[in-house]
Amino acid sequence: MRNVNSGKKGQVKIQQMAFMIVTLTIFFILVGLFALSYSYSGLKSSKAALDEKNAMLLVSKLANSPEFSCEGSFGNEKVSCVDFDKVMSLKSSSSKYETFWDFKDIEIRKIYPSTNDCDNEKNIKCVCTEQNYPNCQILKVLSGNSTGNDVSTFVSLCRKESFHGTFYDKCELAKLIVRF
Amino acid sequence: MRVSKANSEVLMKKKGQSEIAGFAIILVIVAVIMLIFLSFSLNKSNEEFTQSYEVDGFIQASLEYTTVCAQNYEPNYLSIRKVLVKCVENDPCYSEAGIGPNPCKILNETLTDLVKSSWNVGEDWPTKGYVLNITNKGEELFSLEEGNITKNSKGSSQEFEGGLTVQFIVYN
Repeated sequence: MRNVNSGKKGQVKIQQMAFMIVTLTIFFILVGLFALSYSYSGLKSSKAALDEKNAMLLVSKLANSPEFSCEGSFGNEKVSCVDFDKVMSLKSSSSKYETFWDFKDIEIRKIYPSTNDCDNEKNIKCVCTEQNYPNCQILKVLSGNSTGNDVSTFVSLCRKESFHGTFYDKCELAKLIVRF
Repeated sequence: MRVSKANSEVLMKKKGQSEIAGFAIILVIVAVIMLIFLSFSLNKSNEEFTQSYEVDGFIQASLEYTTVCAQNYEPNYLSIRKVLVKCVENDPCYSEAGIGPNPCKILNETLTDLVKSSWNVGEDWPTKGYVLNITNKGEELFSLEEGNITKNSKGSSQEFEGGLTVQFIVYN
């Protein structure tokens, strides 16, 4: 009788231990999965931030290049400031720069102030020419392929404006868009 | 001292019950810890935003926008950055006729138009909403909110001398 009792007791103990091992394993798997998903979500957001940073650096590099940047023409040196007058004159000799930049297309689009008519790119009045400058919305510095990946950044588009014969600095909000 | 069969069965049952109770307590404690951890991580994702270079560029470019507020003479027009300081100091803009327009009003109108022109908001757009807050030493100077606030956000915050803070958050 005593042997049967102790055998049953042993079986119960083994069952308990097996149950505990299974439960602990499931618990640790759950904790692991939870920790993994938590760290993975952080990884995803940091990857997105890095991708965005790389794209922005690419456009910012262009915006701050001597051919585009305001430098000291508008008071203190500003970051992401594009000299509208300088880029307009650059446009006339853009053919020389075709192989200088690794971009198919470079465009500056005025965001504010804007006119609703210029939402449509085909509106010829919106594209900057020597005749309608500076009352235009889109300045095409390089016009290559219309297909490709677009990367853009906000810039302040500055120029010298005349008021009763006196010149002053006028900066507007624009987007520098490159296609590669 | 010999323990009877009935007594030993009762003792074994009691021992088993206490072990099950102990195990249940451990499970409850673990569940509570996991819930606390979960709620903490969820709250954190709601409050914080991903640093965005696009939004940062927008703030930088917007602050340089030339307004219609002049200083001392026309056409000495000021940028939004300088109008912000004028608004804090309650210093009116220049006008030939005497006291000029209120810089805070110009700031309000210009910033509202700037943000609305730059960020299209709605179900059909990638941007679902935005919040722009300008504070001076913790006191609200300007606030603009449009669209829905979602869990997926990116933004940027800039602080200036004198306690001025510009914070812009975009919700995708």
